Amino acid sequence: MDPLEKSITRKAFFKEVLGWIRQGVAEAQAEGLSPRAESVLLPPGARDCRSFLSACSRCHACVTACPHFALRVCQDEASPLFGYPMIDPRQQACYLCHDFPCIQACASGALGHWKTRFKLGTAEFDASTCLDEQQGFCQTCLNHCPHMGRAVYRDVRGRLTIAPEHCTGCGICVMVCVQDPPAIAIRAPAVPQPVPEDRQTDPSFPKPEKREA
Amino acid sequence: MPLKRREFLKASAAAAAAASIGVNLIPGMDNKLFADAVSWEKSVCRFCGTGCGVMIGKKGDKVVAIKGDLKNPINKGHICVKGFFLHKVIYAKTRLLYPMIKRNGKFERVSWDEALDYVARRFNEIRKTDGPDALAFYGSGQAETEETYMANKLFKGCIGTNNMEGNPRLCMASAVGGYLSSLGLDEPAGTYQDIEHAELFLLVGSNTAECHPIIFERIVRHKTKNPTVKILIIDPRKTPTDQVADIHLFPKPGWDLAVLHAMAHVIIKEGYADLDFIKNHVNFKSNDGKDITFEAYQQFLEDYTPEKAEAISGVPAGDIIKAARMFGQAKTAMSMWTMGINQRTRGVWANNLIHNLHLLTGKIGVPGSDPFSLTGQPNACGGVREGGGLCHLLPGHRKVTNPKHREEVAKVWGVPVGNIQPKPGKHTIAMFEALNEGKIKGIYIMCTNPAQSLPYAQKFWKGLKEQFVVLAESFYPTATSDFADVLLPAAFWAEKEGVYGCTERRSQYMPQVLQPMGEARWDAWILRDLAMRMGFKKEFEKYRTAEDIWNEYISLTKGRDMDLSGATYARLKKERGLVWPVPSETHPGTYKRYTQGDPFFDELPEEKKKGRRMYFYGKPDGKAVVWARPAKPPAEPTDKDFPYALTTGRVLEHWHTGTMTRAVLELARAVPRAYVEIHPQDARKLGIANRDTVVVETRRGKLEIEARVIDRPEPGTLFIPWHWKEWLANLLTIDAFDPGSKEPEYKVAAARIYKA
Repeated sequence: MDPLEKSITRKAFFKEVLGWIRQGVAEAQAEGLSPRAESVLLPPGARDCRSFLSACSRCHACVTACPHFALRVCQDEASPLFGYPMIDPRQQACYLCHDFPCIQACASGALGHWKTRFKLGTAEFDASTCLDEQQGFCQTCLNHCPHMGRAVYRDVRGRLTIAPEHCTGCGICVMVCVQDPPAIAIRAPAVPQPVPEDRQTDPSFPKPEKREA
Repeated sequence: MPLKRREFLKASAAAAAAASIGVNLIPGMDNKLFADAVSWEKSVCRFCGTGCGVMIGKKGDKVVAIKGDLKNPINKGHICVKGFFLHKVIYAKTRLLYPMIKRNGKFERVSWDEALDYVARRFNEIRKTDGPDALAFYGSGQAETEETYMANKLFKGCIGTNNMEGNPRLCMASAVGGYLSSLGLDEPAGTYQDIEHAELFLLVGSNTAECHPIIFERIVRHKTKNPTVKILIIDPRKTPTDQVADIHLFPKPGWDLAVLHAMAHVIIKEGYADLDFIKNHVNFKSNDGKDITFEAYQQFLEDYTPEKAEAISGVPAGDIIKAARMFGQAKTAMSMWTMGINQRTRGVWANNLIHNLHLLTGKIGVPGSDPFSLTGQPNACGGVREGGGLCHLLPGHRKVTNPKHREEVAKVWGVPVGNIQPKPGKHTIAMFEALNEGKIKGIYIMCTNPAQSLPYAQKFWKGLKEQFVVLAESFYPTATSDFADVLLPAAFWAEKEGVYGCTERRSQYMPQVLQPMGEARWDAWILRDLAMRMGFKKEFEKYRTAEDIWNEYISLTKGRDMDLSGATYARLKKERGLVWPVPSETHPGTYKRYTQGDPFFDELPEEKKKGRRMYFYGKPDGKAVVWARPAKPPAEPTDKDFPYALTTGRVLEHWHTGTMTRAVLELARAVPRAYVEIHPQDARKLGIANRDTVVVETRRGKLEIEARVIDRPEPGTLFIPWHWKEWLANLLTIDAFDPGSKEPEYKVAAARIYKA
């Protein structure tokens, strides 16, 4: 029998429809809360999240070395990066110093001169909150981008666009955005989302150690 | 009551729907969703001279939002990031709320009566002992036309001194000089409508994307629709405006006059000149004002071949030729320029050279063609240039030196004609120098911040410290309030009504939607009450509303080239501004001056118009002037000791001295502190890394500041935005000024830079 022709009870119908709504609300709530957490970046020189987490000794030498106070210790207990050094670009973006004092300070090998060390992620616009998309004229992100005109530019239609091949993910655009929460975020694919312990499928994934209060 | 499930669902769905459209089904339920909806009222943006229409969103007695006015022909609903946060400026924590008098070095709160009596008494004392010329007024291109008009009447008409200036002297004076000497009358011939018809934009010394964002957006939108539109930029610095540039010429700061001459040279040599237009509409004049022939002018240009211009300015000759051909080949072209041209010791000349390009090619007076100067302040055109807020002007583009003009104005003001001095007063730099020397003993400063905005600012602090300074301001503290003896709280935007006149000759009305905060009062009423206490009761007691002042002002403009007599409050309240000349209440405003459609052109007798499409009625024979101005270097060229050329400017997020924008957290976080931009090549040579603290030094002062190593300025050029009083760029700038327009050269100073 075709499943579409199967008659459903009213109860089942409401259960399903209300279930969709509940799910939508939960997702929307999660979205409202998450941008900052999603924008957290690994320090420059980290290859990917897994190797960084396994190699980092949490000596925080890089945090001490950072001249711009961009590197800080992750205080978010829910994050897999809890206790590890990270960059929150909204607080202070990375300036990608030419001599990388953070990498030089790293003794554990978690930060090294990998091929992709300049790329912390890629910026992405949220068209629903970006002022420029809503009858406004704002190009604060473009004005402050160290690669103005290459990484962020106005395309042929005059809209702000990001070129992923030029964007370093330094996060200066996130830091300066006049909207709150920022209408631009750095997508760092290397940072995995926290996964509940009972659904932990990858045994090699290091569990964050809870610090004693 | 047992409720069936079906009924419950029905009821709850109905209640939800009702709540969302604002009906209360359930008694006692307080539906707040639409209870106090936001009401919108049209107004004009408080920031730059573009004159964007904004809608003020008011909820209860609070302004909660600003949005672009969709019906406004200037911005069509678009608005830049500064305007977006304008409502937060009103509620800034730095608002000045009470009158204060400085006693023993400390400000003490006093009543309005006490403050005004004190000021009136001191001013009258000074006037009695040292004569009226010991008093001065320093106004602003941000003050409303009505406010400037009141100050004008008080100082020029009643007190009897022409020491009445405004900060447009620091930003627009050279453009005025350029328009007067080239076209005969002040202010552009075209309007913003030309943008949508232009085939080429020549942006000289203008960072349009950051300083006039909405004009830039209109240009971008136009280019998007018409990809053949060309944009040509002449600027020593790569700016966000470069996004859309087709070609960018980078002259050394202050040496671009040769580039403009070389472009004229190529245009004539390669046959792009409109000989018909030149024959009927153009006179040629040498620098000393003597008439010369077209051939003599060509002979003069032989000194400025592209190769010679390359040697002077550093712009490759090939680029100059390419740019000139682009300008010549385009059917219509629009030039726009701002401070890069105006704030120079040869600002008037640079303005003339831009007009030359348009006059030689006949690219003027037709849709899409205009030499169009952009204004930096919202009412520099309306209040100060038209309202006569400078030391040599009277309302309605009149001059103090003209006896007929003095008579006309004195009659309307109701003062004896002898009160208005026939000699121009002191211009801004001379005025503050006189303050230093003690020749001026009392100054009234309104709505501006000279302690930060004057070039070589620290030189003028002495006079501000020693003499009697009255400051009418909406914000406290500012750099100038440190030097004030009396602080008078002024009502801010949206707390007062009045008229702003923007770059394109459009006058727009702003309503009052709020009660002034604290004890703040409208500047015009402060001036009125001060005047009455100083003994000018008869002259000032007749003003009861803003409309009284406006009506008197527009009666003075009747018959003048900037005729606003048809722009009554009733009309301005309804319409989105009117572009003068508006000679009658039924006149729709004028799109193009000096040509068909301009009421003054249409009135001319036929024999004058014969064979002509334009008549420059500000000149005796109706012909515009192409000037053969030599290319002079800046006042302080770079040398061995000071090898870098320092230039100053704005950023998108901040405005002028930052008293407004720095109070908005969102904008302050975007650009929290000043920096000096330096090219990576220079930085490597000096061992400067990004974000190092460096010292920038000129012959006048030094400044410790953060370095930003970025390839925006050319090698050999430094750039500092000037919005911060903590990192005061004007400690470094030079106070040399244009001998014609008296506008100082902010844009070029020789500097050196080293690691702190």
